[in-house]
Amino acid sequence: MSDESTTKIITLVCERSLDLRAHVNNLGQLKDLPDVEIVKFPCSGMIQPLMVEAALKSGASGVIVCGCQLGDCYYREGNRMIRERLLGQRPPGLRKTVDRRRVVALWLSRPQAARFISEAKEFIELVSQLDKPGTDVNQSTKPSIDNH
Amino acid sequence: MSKVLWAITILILSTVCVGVVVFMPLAELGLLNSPNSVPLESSTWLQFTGIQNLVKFGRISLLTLTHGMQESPNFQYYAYFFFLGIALMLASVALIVIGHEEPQEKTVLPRKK
Amino acid sequence: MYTQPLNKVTLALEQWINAVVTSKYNPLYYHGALPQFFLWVLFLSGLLLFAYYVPTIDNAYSAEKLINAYTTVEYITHIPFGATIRGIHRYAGDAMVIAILLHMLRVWFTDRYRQYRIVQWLSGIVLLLLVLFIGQTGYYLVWDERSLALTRMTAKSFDVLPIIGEPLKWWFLNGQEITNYTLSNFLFIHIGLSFSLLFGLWIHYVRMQRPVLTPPPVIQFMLFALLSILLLWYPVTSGSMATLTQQPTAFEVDWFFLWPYWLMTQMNLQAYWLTIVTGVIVLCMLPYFVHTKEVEAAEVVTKKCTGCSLCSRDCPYAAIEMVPAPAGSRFKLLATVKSYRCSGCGVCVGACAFDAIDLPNLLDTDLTAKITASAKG
Ligand code: SF4
Ligand code: SF4
Repeated sequence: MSDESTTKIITLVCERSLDLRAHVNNLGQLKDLPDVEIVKFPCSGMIQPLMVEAALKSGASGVIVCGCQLGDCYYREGNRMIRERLLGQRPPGLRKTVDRRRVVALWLSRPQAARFISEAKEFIELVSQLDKPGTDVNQSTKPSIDNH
Repeated sequence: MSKVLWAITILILSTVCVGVVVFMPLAELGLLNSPNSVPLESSTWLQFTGIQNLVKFGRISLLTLTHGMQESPNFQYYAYFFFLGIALMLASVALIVIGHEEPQEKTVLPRKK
Repeated sequence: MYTQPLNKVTLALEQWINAVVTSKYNPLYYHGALPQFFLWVLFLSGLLLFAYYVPTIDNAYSAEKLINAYTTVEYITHIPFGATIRGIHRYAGDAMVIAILLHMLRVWFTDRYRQYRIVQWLSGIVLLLLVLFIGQTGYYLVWDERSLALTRMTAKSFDVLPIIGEPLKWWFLNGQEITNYTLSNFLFIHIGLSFSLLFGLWIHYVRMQRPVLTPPPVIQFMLFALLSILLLWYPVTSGSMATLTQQPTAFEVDWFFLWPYWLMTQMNLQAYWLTIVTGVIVLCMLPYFVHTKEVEAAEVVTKKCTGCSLCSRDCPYAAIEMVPAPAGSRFKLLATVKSYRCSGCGVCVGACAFDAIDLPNLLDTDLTAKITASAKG
C-alpha cells in the first residue's frame, strides 16, 4: 500500500447505470470521497473477474462493482452475468485467494447516486477495518448476507 | 424485528385464502344464486354455522358492487371467477411477503472457507 | 438523444415500483413476457371455445333447430363457465394489446429498439398488426349485428384499393359475397394466423440468447386475477343475430381492436388507407430518425482464442458462433462474431479468461491498466 492512511476503493461502474457526473472530479474520483476512483464500462457485463483481482493486487483496498438494477440491463443480461461470475456461479470466477470481503456489488439505476455514496462510505468503513494492522483477518467484521 | 408481525400477516392471508377456496365450490354449486337449492342435510349445517347468511351477504354486496348484474343468468360463474381472482391475488401477495428478501440492490460475496 | 426525458420517466416509475415490490417482481422488467403470457391464456381459452363453435351463418342442418355461429356462441354463453371463458378470451385479447403497447413504449422510451435490435422492432410491428387483425376476426366470429357491420366495412374498404383490392376482398369473404364459406374462412384466419404468430415470435426472439418468455408466477397470478375480477364488472355481451337483409347502424366499439373501424367512419376510405399505411411506415422508420455512432463489433484475437465457447454462451444477442478452428490450430473451435448482431456491450470480454476477444474502441488491456494505475495512485 502506497499510503497507510488512505483506503483506495476502485469502483467499476456501468455507464448506463449510475449517473455520477455531478459527483466526480476530472481525475475520476468522487468529490466527497476522493479515495473512491471511478472506472467506467459500457456495461457491467464487460467487467472481468481478472480486473477485480488486478485492482486488489495493485493495492486497492476494495472494489465496488456497479451495474443497473437486476432485471434491467440495457444489454439484456450484463449485470446478471457479472453477478453470477462474482458469486462463482458462472465461469470465469474470482480466484480462491481473493478476499471476498473486499468486493461488493451494487445494482442501482441512474437516479440512485445518493444511495451509492452512502453504500460507498459504509464499504470504506468496513474495508479500513480490514486494513488495520493487527486485526484478525479471518474474523469477518460483518456477517455476510448470502445471496443465492 | 417484525418477524412476528410478518408471521401474523401471512397467517391471516393464508386463512383467508383457504376460506376463499372453500367458498368457491359453494359458488360453483349455485349456492350464491339460490340458497334453496342446497341439499337439506347440508343446509342445516350451513344454517348452523351461519355460512348461508355469509353467502347471502356476499351475494348482496357483490350485486350492489356490480349493478346491472342482476339479470345475468350466469352470476354464479362470474362470482366463482371473482373469488378465484381474489384468491389468486391474495396468494400472490402472500408469495411476495413470504418470498420477501432484502431488495436485490447489493450483493455481498459469500466467503470461501 | 431525444428519448432522454422519456427514459427518465421510465426509470422513475421503475424505481418507484422497485421500492414497493422489489426488482424481482417488477412487471416492467418482464414487459416482453407479458404479451406472451396472455397469448397462452388466449390459446387455452380459445381451444375451449373452439369445441362448441359452428362456423355457419344460416341453418346448415335443419329448419327447426337453428344451429349457426350466433346460436353456438349463445349456447357457449349459457353452459356452465361458458360465459366466463368467453369473457377471459375477449379480455385477455384486450390485455394482450395493452401489454404489447407497454412493451413497445418501454423499448422506445429506454432506447432499446434500434441498430442491432432492428429485427426485433420490425418483427414486433408485424406481430402487432397480426394481433390486431386476429382480434378483429374474433369479433366477426360472434356473428351478431356488429360482426355483420364490421365484415361489410372491411369488404368495402378493400374495394378502394387498386389492383389488390378485388382479390383481397375475394379472399376475405371467401367468394363474391357473404355466405357460409365466409365464416369458415374467418375461423380459419382467426386460428391459422394465431399459430403464425408463433413463427413471427421465433423471428422476434432469434437474435436473443435466453429470451424472457414467462413472467414469475406471482405476476402471472396477478394478471389472471385481474382478468377474472374484471369479468364480474364487465360480462361479455353480444348483440342480436345478424340478418343479411338488414344493415346495422351503430355498435359498441372495443377501442383496443376496433379503432380502425372508428377511423373508417371519420374519413373517406382512401384517406383511411393512407393514414394506416403512413402510420405503419412511420413506425418502421422510427429507428432511423435518430443518428448515433455505429456500433463497433467485438473482435476475436484468433491467435489467443482457445475455443472455450464461454463468450458465445454469455453473449446476450447470440452474436458469437463457434466455428471449427482453422487447420494447424491447437484447439478445436474458434469464436467468430456476427458483426450485424453485435451490440458492442462487451459481455463477451467479461466472459473471456484468455483476453482473446476485444471491443476495438475500448481494449480491456487499457481498462486494466487504468484500474491498476488508479489503484496504485
Ligand atoms: S471466451 Fe475467449 S477463448 Fe473462449 S471462445 Fe470466446 S474468445 Fe475464445
Ligand atoms: S460485444 Fe460481445 S457479448 Fe456483446 S453483443 Fe457483441 S459479441 Fe455479443
